[in-house]
Amino acid sequence: MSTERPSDMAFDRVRPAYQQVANQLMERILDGSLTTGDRLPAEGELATAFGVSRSTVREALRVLASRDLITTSRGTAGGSFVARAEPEQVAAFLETSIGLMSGTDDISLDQMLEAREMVEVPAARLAAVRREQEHLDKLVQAIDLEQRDGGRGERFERNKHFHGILIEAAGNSLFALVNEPVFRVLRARFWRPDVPEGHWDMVTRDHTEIVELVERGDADGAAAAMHEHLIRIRPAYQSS
Amino acid sequence: MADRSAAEQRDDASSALRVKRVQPAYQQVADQLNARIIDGSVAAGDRLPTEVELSEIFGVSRSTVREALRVLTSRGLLRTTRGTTGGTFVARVEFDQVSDYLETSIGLMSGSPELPVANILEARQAFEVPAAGLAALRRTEHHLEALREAVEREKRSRAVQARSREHRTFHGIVLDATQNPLIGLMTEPLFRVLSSRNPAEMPKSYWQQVDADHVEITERIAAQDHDGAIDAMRRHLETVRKDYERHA
Repeated sequence: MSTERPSDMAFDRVRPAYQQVANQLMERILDGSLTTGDRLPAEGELATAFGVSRSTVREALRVLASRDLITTSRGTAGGSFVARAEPEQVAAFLETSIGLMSGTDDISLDQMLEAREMVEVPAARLAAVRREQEHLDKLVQAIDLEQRDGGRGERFERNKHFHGILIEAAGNSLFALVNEPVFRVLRARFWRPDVPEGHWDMVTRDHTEIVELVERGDADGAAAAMHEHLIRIRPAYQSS
Repeated sequence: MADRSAAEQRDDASSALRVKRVQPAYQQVADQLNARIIDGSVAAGDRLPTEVELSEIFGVSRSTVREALRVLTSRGLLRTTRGTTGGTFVARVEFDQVSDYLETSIGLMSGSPELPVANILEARQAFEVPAAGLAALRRTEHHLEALREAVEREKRSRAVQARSREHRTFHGIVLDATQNPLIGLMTEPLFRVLSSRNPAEMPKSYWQQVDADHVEITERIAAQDHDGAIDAMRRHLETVRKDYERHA
């Protein structure tokens, strides 16, 4: 880190032309001046507007396409359009990236479990306030399913179902967007082949208690119960 | 929008029959490779089998393999080098790259019915308030120095853009101090999206309040005061949120 440098002197690295074009277009998407479905000007117009060659424009558009920000179609009605960001697509990208980073020293099991707590505890709090009858019904159903015998993978799927519904009940799609990828990587990488004895009974007890608190609208109680639950399930995960 | 409703009709038809849409061959290859990356069977730096080998393994043509590799490469998951020692390797994913992707995606979704700006403000508060507590417990001298410098620079910068850049820097350092990069990964894109939508002209009193809040947060973190840092961050984000809502 550089020290004692006045802020007006905080230089940025010089960026290649295509990157500047891509960044400016991204900024327009971020600040909302370009939104889903909007057609971008033709390559020739963009080249004139930015004062660059058409091949530089094409390079910039490729960058945006690789981030799923625009789609390009050919033909007379074709062109480049601002894409619709699909939450599933974003979550899938995050999942793979986190998977890759957790294989190196970049992210540890403890850090993943902590991140999960960071999302699921406030989600339980919000769920207690915002849940609707439909969520409560689905949560009870999910616990019911959990108790039936089934293969390990199947049980895990149901367990995920419980946590997924609870996050849905929190009524903020961002919570699911960041939590699902962490949850899935935890499962794919860190789930113990031999779950500690009594694990599933404990899970059922905890889930039942959480649903009761959520149903009662006890926000603090639900958050606290979720926090303790996430600590109790830690032994089911291990670093490879 | 016409596209969307076509896609919806398609999805309805698939779910009515309880079947899944058939995936093109290249997508199946890409998905399988992707799954091996997630579960750790291939790791950053690993070399993938050659195109010919992959086409035999999957029972598809080389051009299908190439298409699948292009999908993964464009997502920054693979990189290809030429020459005798060349080949296709699993890339090392950089936090910045993932964070940028999240930022632009959330930016694109924000303001839509499924992601109102209020949700972004709420998620930011939910993640960043406890993060301040962790930062108080785990910060190093290096983080403290960086926080104090950021606060000083904020006070000195007059231009709105420079201010808001320093503001982001401050919050980024708090997240760094949690020593859990995932927390930053989940939270930074949120406040970057918010600040890019921030009304440019906030009153002077707003920035004075921000300065005072940041000084307070820095002091609580310096004192390793977990609960105090949480309180200070909660109050600060509450102020920011109210001002944001008033001026948006």
